[in-house]
Amino acid sequence: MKKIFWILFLGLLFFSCRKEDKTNLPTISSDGFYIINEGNYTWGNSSLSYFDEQKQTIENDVFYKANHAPIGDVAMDMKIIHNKGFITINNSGLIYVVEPSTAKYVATIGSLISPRYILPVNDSLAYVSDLYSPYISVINTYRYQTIGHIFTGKSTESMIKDEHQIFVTSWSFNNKIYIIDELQQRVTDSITVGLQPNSITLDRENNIWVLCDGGYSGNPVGHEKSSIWKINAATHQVIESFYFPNINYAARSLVMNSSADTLYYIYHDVYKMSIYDSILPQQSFIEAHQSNFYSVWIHPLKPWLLLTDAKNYTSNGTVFLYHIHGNLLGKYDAGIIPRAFCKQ
Amino acid sequence: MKYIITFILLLFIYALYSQDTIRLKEVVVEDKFEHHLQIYYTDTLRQHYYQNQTLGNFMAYEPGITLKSEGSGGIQGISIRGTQNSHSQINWYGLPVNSSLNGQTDYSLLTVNDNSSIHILYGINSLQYENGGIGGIITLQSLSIDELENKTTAMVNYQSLKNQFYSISNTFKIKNSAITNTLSYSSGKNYFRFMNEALLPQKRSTNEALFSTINYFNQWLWKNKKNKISLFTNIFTNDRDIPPLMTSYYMSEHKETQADKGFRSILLFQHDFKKIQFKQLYGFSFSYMDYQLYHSIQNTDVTIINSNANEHIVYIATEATYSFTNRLRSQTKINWQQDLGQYQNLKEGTGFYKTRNQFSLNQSLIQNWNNQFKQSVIIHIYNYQKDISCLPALISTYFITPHISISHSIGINQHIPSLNDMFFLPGGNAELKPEQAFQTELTFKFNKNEHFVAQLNPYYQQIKNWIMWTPSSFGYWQATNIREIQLYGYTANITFKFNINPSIELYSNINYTYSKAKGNDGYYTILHNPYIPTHQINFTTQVQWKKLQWYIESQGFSTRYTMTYIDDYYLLPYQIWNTDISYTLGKKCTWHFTFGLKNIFNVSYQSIIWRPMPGRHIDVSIKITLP
Repeated sequence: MKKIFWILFLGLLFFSCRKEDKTNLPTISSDGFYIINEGNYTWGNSSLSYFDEQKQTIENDVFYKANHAPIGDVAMDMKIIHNKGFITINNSGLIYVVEPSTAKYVATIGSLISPRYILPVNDSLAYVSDLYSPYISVINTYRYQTIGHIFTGKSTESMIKDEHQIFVTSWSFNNKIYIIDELQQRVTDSITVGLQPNSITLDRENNIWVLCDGGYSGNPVGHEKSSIWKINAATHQVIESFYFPNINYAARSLVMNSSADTLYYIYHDVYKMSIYDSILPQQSFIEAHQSNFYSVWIHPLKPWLLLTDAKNYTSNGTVFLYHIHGNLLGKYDAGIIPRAFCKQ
Repeated sequence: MKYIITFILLLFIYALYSQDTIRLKEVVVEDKFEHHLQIYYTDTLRQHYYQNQTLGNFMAYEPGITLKSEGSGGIQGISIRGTQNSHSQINWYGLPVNSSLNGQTDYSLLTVNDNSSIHILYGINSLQYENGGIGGIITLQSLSIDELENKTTAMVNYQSLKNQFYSISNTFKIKNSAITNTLSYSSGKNYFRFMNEALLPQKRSTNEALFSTINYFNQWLWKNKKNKISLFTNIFTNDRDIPPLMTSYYMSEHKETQADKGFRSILLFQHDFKKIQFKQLYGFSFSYMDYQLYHSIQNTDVTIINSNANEHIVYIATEATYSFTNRLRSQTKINWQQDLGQYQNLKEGTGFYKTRNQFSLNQSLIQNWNNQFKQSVIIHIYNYQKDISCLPALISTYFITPHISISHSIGINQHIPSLNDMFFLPGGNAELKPEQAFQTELTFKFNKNEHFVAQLNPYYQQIKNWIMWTPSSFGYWQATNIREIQLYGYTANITFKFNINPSIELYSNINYTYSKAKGNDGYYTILHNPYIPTHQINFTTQVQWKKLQWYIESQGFSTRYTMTYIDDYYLLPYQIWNTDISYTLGKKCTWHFTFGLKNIFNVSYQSIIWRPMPGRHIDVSIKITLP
């Protein structure tokens, strides 16, 4: 009996122990890029990884290591503006501003609803799209403040700028592209495309390309095959649309190469398409096999294609480094749902 | 400081153990011929202490049970032996009350009272009631008329979290009948300050979540020589604000609310023939939930979620117990249950409305082979969609001596998907199979003169087709039968009560749970069972000296991982201590004053990740009892 009590007593002491926080400052080189790991909605397990291009190594959890705090709930996008990193944290309703060379926290832009993507529009302003708000937030990138809102009436997602026009996809339960005039700071036109446009890019011929995922079964606004839309940026006229063959896959992550003449996107596998093609490619560029490809990114300076595998969305994801011609150069463990990239 | 208190307390208890003892009333010793075997009786003294508190708070200190709580007024769910909340069922005076929509019970909506006893049938032992309680079935049962007393009780309670609680209860007995009415009201803000370490800049933030609850309970019991009739009714409303996650504190103005309303009632007839005891039950429950999430921007409300759900359960059961001989008894139960669930997402215009009928037949044979050995064989047959399943179980108990027994339970259990699992849009999956569990456990029990009870329960269960909601490539979560898992471990429980001298009485309970999980979700290996600690220890002690009572309780958890496949995300181990001192004035009409200090050492902890829990706070109450 004596032993039992001592075991219980020692047990109580054991429970009183706390783990030491073993964190070191991250190593952020000047030649590399950030990987934004989205994490799971409401679980607060987003993270930031850094890829050193010289050493071709990845360091995970750099935000936590630099600041001894988690990055928040569902990190979405990162842009470097005036040598400061702006990271949108969707379900935390804020933007963190960090020092790109150290990942150290600089400031918070709060009081947002559900920020998604950030797009610098001039020297001092950036637009922030929002999943739930019918407004785009306008932030001052020097003062780190929200200074205004542009009413869209609907949810907004990815954005691209052409001259003074900002093309904004309205992804959630919608099929529109809104055009905002930068000078007037208001929506001046809209274009109807396929269901749920999720990504947008601009080619060398001044055409806008939009990828629509088509919704899902049970979606209140319907379910259709994923599609790609080619739109004249000047006239806002649809030039061509391409529908994918299988309704059971949702297409995502449309990106353009650095010479703006080739599109890459994920449709289970990765596909590559010339902007001059009149049909969708039949052959995949990179096969998924067992991977669950989530996003693709073309390095702006090197002939690299970066591809993420979100696996089952609750495990740590993988980042694949490919040469732009399609040969695998490396494979790296990242955080949960690696989503976006940002060149240092 | 807490080490010193722990040490002194344990030495104190150890010293007392060597002293002579008196009868331990709170430990109920099993009958020679029970309706059900391997029942775990929760402690009546602690039940008294937790009177008018939530069932979740009360169950949290029972072995093998882990509570997930959002704090006072917030939603509560439990896990029994590492299973999910939906794997634990509540049998409310004979009526199954788990939600037909999500299969779960919100333990914050059920309150503990003095007029009932609370039992747990862990694991496969629950098949004696129903299928589906893979974790177990918690039963609330009425005390008999003879055990009830004529009394009126009024209670006022105030917490420094700006919460208050009022209740009035009356039990009235005339000849062969007894009526109990209890009305309680609680409201508050659950207000406390905490350091928000989830966001930068880190700063002290305020948790404020308004809630109000009204709960009315009525029981009417009548009996004569051969008949018993009981009617139980419960009406409740609960309105609560859900505070933002710690990771969302800088969001634009956040307003998340949930309103629950419900009614449940069960009518029970019992007639004793010569060799047959016959029972008929008619039960009905209805509940309605309204959930809304808004944000404000430029003084405009932005609706993010606006939904409501309503459901009802109709339950009819017939039970017959037949004694073939003094040593062999048969129990047969046939029941029909209709679940109706309706969910509406008003913002998106989606939803579903479904009705489901379930039939089951439960047949058990209980054989007392001799005074030392008894067994129960159970066959449970039920329908799911177009299939009929047959689930067997065997429970055996052997008394090595009158004080030492070994029990073994083994069998197969199944839990059917909830209506949400099958029909929720998006992500519901109408093709889901029932979750299937092979379960076995041992119980070693020792009791010494009924003053000391020690129990050790190793358990093992293998669950296939476990339903998980996993993210899909379309951006929503969907239900799949993906998980195959083995849950194993043991619980150890020691309860004792002594009279140090004629005026000082000491009661103590300590229980420990060791819990592990191993398995896979398709290609992915399960490293952790989220939120289930490997080690959990609960400790309660009450010392009574004349009219003064001192109560202390403590709960400790080892690391709780929050992700299944990754080591990086976890909640740190913690141990919290609560204490109460109370004094009773008067003899017939009594005034009971209590002063409590909760979370004595002001430990910062989270029960659910990014949901802060209160630090040290005060709880005072006055209870008046009239005969």
